[in-house]
Amino acid sequence: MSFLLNTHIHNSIESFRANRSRSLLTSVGIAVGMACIVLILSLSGGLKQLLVDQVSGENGNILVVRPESNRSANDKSFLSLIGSTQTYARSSLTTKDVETISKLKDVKAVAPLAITENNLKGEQEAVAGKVVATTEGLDNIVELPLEYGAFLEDSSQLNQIVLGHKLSQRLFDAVETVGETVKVKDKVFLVVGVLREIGEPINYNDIDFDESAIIALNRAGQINDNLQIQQINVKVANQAATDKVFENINKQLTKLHGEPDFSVVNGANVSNSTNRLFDVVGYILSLVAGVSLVVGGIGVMNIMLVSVSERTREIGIRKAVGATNGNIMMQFLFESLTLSLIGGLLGLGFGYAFAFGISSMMPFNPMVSWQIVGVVLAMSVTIGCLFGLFPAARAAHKDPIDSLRHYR
Amino acid sequence: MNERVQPIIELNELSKRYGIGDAEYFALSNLNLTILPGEFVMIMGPSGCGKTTLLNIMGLLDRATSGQYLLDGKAVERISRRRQARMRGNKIGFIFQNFNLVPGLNVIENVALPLVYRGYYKTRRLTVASKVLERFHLQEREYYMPWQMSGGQNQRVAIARALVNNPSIILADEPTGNLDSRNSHIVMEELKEIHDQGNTIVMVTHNAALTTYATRVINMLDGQIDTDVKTTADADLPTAAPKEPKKAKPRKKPRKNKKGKS
Ligand SMILES: Nc1ncnc2c1ncn2[C@@H]1O[C@H](COP(=O)(O)OP(=O)(O)OP(=O)(O)O)[C@@H](O)[C@H]1O
Ligand SMILES: [Mg+2]
Repeated sequence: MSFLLNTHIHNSIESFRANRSRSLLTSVGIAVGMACIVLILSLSGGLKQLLVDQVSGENGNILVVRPESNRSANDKSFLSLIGSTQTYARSSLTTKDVETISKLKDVKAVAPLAITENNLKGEQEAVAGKVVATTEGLDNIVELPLEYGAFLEDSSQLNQIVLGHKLSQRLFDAVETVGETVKVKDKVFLVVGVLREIGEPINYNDIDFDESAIIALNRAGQINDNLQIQQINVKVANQAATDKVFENINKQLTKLHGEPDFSVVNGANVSNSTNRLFDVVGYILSLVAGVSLVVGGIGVMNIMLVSVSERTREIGIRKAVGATNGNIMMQFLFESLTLSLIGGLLGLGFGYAFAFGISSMMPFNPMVSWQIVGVVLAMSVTIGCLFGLFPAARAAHKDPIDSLRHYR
Repeated sequence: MNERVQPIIELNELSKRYGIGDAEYFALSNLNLTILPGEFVMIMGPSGCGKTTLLNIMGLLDRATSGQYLLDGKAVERISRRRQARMRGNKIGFIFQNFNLVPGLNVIENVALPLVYRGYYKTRRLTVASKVLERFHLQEREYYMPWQMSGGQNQRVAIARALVNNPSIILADEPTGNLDSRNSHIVMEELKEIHDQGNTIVMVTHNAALTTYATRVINMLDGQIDTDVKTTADADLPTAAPKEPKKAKPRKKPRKNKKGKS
């Protein structure tokens, strides 16, 4: 026995058409919430993809160790989320950690990052810039192609420095500056290499290497006696070993620190705390989406109740000619499904239109994926069923005689 | 006809109570009635004597408070609501005083409505409905909406809908109540024709002039049968011609497209 699927679908489309404006308005109520969801998912997906691509490389074999100060661990309040990216009063990570990690099995390269703002002085006046203190392992982990010269060597006896493309230009009005010297806090550093221009506005851990200078961590003490290691990047020899290394780092550092005051993340979730402002926007949008979906759902319920009472007689007639309660129930469920599905599709359209509009001002594209379409459709179906259930049940349980007697 | 015919409807000591306690009111009390295939029963009686209540119970729209109801030999009380709904679709055709066409559907869709719940596909539904409409000379009105037609036309559409799935019995509650005498006459001629082809009809009316069409006239009073007069002997009742076996159950009366009795 067929479930009258065709008839129900046909009926609900007819009914949508018959009450075009009120149905459409109800659907738009759903569409607003859906558009928010599409916006969040597609933009955060796009951003995450960008970050994951940059951080974990092609193989997804990068792990990142971050300090977790008490503040960031426990205080998840709104304001601290908006607060600047990573200003820990006191990083829990030490050079000892770096050494420990580099000795672990299957670890191919380790690069700590200790970023400070400093004045650099070349030939001309001093220029403000970011100084990244790290090890030679960084070259292995992030792809940093050199324009001239070579990368740092940990074993070098000299104060070596590698300049970003634009920084070099600002310091010397030239790119070929290997052999020149740069003064950082009155300490003299020898330029050993200049990076090729990267030119990407969103960068790995917010470091714009074009505008940064890279020095060795073991020399950084000279310019900053309160050096904070903001994170340690670890490259694992092969992807299969990632989980094992992940565990080992956790175990070793916990032993070393006495408490788990750090976190280890891998490529997929590395972006989580990278851009907190984006997270906040995401939270607000989800809230808006949630609220408007509930409001939209109530709209669907409302219009369905109106529709059921308007069509009381029709229900009576249908029952008189052989419709079961289930048939009536399905008929009205399909109607509310149609409302919410059309809302979902509209929301998909609006959401992507918005997302592409916004992303034209952003350095990344919104993620277009079947998952997002799937999520929207699934939520539409859920809302349609959830909020259509009560009106449909009410329609199904109407007494045929009372319904037939019902005059309007 | 053969000796014993299976009655379509058999009511034994049927009662219907509305309200409880002091407000208790019996719309039907201990009513007995047997309706044979091929009968054209007219039920008359003063307003409020329980005619509509009786018809609703016979049509499975309502349930009796007590008593037994056998439809086609089966006790209805034992049947689930779901099955009862299916039986309404398969065995019973309703005709109402106010036509009760679905306002959003056009003529042919209204006629085809009972077939929806039999699970017929759309093309088949429309072909069958179209054939029935042709009988009522309404084929050129197929795509009219109910509000575009006269009351008489609407009632003929409603009759077509009642016939579309070959019911065992047609229940009509004052089908001419909203019509003028000319249209009443047209509708009665249609019903007569249907009856002549072997259909069983139970009709409620206030118009004594229409009883000439009936084979049996029942007068009700206070929820009971007052008088019951058969104007045609049981043996002379029209029977369904065994021709055109619609591969449905053989007991059901096949509808014929052409006039003519066996
Ligand atoms: N839902 C109900 N609740 C209470 N009493 C009811 C209900 N339906 C019908 N009745 C009562 O049952 C009695 C029979 O009603 P019914 O509609 O069968 O009368 P009728 O013979 O069809 O009258 P009419 O000729 O005016 O159509 C009436 O007295 C009516 O008040
Ligand atoms: Mg009545």
